[in-house]
Amino acid sequence: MFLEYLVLAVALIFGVLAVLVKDNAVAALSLAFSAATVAGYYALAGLVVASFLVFVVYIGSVILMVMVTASMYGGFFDYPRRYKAAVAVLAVVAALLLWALIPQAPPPQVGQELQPNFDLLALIAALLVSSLVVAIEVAKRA
Amino acid sequence: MIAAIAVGLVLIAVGLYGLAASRNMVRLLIAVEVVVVGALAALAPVLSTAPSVGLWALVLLISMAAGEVAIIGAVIYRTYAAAKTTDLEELRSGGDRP
Repeated sequence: MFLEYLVLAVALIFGVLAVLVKDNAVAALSLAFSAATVAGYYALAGLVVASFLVFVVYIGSVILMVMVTASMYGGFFDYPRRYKAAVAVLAVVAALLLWALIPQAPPPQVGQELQPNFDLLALIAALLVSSLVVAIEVAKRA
Repeated sequence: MIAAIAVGLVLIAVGLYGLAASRNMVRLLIAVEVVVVGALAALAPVLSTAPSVGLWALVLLISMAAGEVAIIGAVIYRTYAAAKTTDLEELRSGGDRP
């Protein structure tokens, strides 16, 4: 219970940071942490399909495009190399801490009606990623 | 689970504040995504009690998020290519051209 509250508090803090900080790239990074924490909350509650959907589809396509956009127009590529390395190290340490702190949950119960949806989720993921790529290409060439 | 709903609603409120207060198109995009993350958090109890309904609601929410990011991202790229800025105040003061 305490761990769930902690995860939700972290999601809330990073969500608020995403709106309040001045830098676009840092805001996008905070948003990514917030979304990842919500996906971790799903995993903690044993919602495997939903966690997969948020981690792979949402963070892998939507949040990634937000981060790329914010980095392009937020000056992240002009930052010193030390800053970029520090951000990368911080992300890795946070991921490792989460991995170590989350207790070994019992095997998730995936209902029979959810099993065939994995194919559908993979199809949706491919569709969303391709739509984002098409949007960028159309915007570049129009 | 009540805590998840509360956190989700607070995140939605924070995202709406960001939408109202931001003057940069990238910040607007990030604020919209904060609203989506809040909706994701508030959806967790539904996924626990009615997994099938919650799953399809989640698929719908993520599809909508991807669509809006595609559209807003394309608008940002075109605007920056045309006006070399994403700041709405600068765009507004620059006349009719985006």
